[in-house]
Amino acid sequence: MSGPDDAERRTSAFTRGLTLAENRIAQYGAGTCLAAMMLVIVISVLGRYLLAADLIPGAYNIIERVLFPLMVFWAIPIAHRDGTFPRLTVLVDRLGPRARLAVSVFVLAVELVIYLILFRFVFEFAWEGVARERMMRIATETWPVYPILVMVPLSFGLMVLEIARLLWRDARMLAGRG
Amino acid sequence: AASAEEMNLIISSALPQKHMWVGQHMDPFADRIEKATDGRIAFDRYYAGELVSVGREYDGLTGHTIDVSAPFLAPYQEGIFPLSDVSQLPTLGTDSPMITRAFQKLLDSDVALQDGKTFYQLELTDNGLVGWPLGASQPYAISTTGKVLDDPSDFQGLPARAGATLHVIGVEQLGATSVYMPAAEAYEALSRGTIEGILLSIGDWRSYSVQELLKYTITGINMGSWESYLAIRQDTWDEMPDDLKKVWDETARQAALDNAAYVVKQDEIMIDEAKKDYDARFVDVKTLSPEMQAHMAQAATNTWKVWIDKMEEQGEPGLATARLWAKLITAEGGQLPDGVEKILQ
Amino acid sequence: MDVWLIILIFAAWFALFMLLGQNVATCMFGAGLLGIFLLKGSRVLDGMVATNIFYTTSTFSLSIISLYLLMANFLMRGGVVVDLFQVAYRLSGHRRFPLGVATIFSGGLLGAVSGSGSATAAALSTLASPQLERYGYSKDLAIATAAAAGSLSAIIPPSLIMIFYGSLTQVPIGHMFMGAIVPGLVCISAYIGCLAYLGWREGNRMKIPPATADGGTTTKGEAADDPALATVSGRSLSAFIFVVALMVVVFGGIYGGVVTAGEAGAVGAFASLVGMVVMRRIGWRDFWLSLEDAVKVTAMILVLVMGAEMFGRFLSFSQVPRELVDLVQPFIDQQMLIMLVLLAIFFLFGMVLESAAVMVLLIPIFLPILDSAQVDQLWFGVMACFMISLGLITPPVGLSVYAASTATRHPVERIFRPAFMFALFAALIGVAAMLAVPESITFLPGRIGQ
Ligand code: NA
Ligand code: NA
Repeated sequence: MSGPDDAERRTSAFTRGLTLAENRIAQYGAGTCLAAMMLVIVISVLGRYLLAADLIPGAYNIIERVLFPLMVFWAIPIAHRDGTFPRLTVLVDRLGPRARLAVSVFVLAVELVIYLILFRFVFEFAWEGVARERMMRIATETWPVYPILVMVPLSFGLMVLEIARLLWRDARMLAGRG
Repeated sequence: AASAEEMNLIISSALPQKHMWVGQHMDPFADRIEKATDGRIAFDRYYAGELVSVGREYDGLTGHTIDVSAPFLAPYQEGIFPLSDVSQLPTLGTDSPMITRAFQKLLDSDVALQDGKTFYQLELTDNGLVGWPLGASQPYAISTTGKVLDDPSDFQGLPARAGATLHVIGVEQLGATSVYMPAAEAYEALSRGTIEGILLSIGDWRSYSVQELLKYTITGINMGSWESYLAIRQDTWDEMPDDLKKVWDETARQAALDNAAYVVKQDEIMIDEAKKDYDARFVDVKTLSPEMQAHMAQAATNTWKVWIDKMEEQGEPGLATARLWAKLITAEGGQLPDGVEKILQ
Repeated sequence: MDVWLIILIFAAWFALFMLLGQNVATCMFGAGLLGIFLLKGSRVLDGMVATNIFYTTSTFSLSIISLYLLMANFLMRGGVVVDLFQVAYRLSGHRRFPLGVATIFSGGLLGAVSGSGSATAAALSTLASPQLERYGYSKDLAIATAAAAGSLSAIIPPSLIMIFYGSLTQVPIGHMFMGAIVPGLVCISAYIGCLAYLGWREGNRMKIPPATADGGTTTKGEAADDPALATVSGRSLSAFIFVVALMVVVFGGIYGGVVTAGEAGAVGAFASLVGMVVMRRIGWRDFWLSLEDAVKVTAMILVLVMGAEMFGRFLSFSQVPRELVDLVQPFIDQQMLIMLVLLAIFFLFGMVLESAAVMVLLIPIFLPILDSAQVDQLWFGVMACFMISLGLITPPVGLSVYAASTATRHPVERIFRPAFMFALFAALIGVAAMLAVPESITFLPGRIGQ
């Protein structure tokens, strides 16, 4: 019977790949957005005081509508995977290992349902936004918003995968096969 | 949302109750409807973006989170109501009631603008909405923290804040440097000189707390009034019995006119206060030098041109809409900046 | 279904999953979705769920959080904590109580250029607590002092929680920063007072020779110095001067009205980057890691805000906040009483929850009450941030103490005992001072740009 081991190995290879991908997106994608935000503001301030000119028209919009949203949606999956989301652990810490596992499975199952619902909403929103050519205003221009919009379901989709993985892991452990 | 007999509607505003479009439009409108229909229409009222924030009104309505949006801030629903910006085109000698009446007539007009569709069909029906005007803002005027604008060159490099797209275009056409910032930052920016000018309706000064800072204002040229809608979703409207529809329609039209009368008064009160308490100067454009008048008219005219071109580029009937608006404004007694007639040919 | 029954179900769901350890954002999403569904049906969700999630990220004021985080990360990775403590350590003249004070001051100084506390607490606890022990403090108190010094990052502006409050309430963030300067100084004083008391009590109990206990030179002398602290190098001094200059630029820029709080964050981050690179303290790797850390924390906070929006929308639909206002109505004239009760609630929530979570949870419920009691939102906000930030060193969940505990491998509960005293001291003195003299908060913001 090589089943569980194989499954385990495949899952962990898949997980490693996903973690690496999420890391890269966060570090280079989201990180670049943040660095750009910093530079856009510094250039604007310098322009204002040294040249009395608005060097980047709509700098404020570019940050608010493009750079910051991209940064956040690219960073969410890894922030979630790292387990940095705040939670209350006072009670759970007092439970025995098996009870804790059971609670975890229950909580994760509920969480999975919630994120699936959220995923459905953001997916539909992005889909319609692309189809309807939803726009955003940058200075006096309107730009299509879809390049940012499609990142929302991507972000939530990755979170759903992570929750499913954790649920699978804990459920197997609870069933005594972990 | 309800049976034919009794309708319980969610009416929502992204603005707080103290804003004139809520306190002087949404609330009086809802009160009157509830009274006139004897409670057959009742509203659950939500304010200050409790349910739906600025710019998300369209999503809120079409997504059935709310039934009625007042004010429905069309210019903030990015790219969905492009033609509704037409009220922000610069005109001369106009005030809130004139703009409000003209806008109602624009909505009532049966002139086909594109593909046999009227303004109403293009902007509202096609987006699943039924709507009425609000009381338009008083004219947007250019004000400074003290710099006197006597000569066209005085505009050069003047850092000024404008909000709406058309206002930004207008400021740039005057030769000023448009500085982009959220409205909430205007006070700080004016007080420390990051910006020295602002395009705003005088009655709105208090909402931004800038009344003590603005010392010089050119009046008589309307750099574009802000106007928008009271909007209800089409399917909810269709469920409404005809007698209620009639009450609604009449009430909405009257609410806009009353709102406009209030807005005019606010402007006058603010002007008096600014003169008396803050030493502010208000200069009518007609008293300025001929060069200055010509410069401002040219900027205003260019704003029409830029907007029309932009609309046409996007496949929207900018020219036809501007033509119709020009006709309605002049019928109300307003004037067009020199040269606009020519563009509209 | 009856509204009150739905509210009960909503509250029960929220309480259950919070206790079971589901993350706070998910608890709020879940309770909000369920509550709205029960109250209004699934249809209303179409117009709000996705737009809330998407447009939450289009909030300029929240983007400022990431810039201040970045600034702090550059400085942390550049290792300036060591330098600050080194200088403070020298200035303390190797005497017991002044050394404790120096530790707190290093935390305060670092706090003036950093927005969140754990990293500072970890660094100071490894650096400072061995020295504090050497000069006669117990291990518990030594680490607790370092943790408290670390918590000053959240209490002294700039602080993430203040940016956060500003973006939730429209109070200008620059005003929050300016308003929190005096309370921050009060907190430092309270910590020092608490340290004096705890140290004195300990000194009595442990029979430390009076020469050491009241501030005399230790018998062990400088021979026992940590090599890293043996001398103040030019490198340390320049880092120290750089941090002070950066602090002046950020606060001076905001106070002088030269830049907004958001711009100050970007300019500060940029200056830190340039400074650290020029001083050869960070390289490419540190640069990317600083960015990564900042975006992760920002993302975590943004998901919390998204969850809070769902949670808040349910509250609006159910009209709970309005009912609460009616409930409070008989006491509405008693501003002080209302403030005290609300601040106590903030302190208690800060004990068990992470600070951003406390904010998103309580603000939508309390804001209408503040409004109708006509409480100044800036004044209240600074105090609320103060109370929440003290949660960093209160049990059972205190991130500063956790960080210090991890860094020193010393049991959490032993550190919490003295740490809680620090928090309690600061809370009582801080609240008394700020309620008695509201100008301690409102004076500086009122003068920005003048
Ligand atoms: Na700080
Ligand atoms: Na705590």
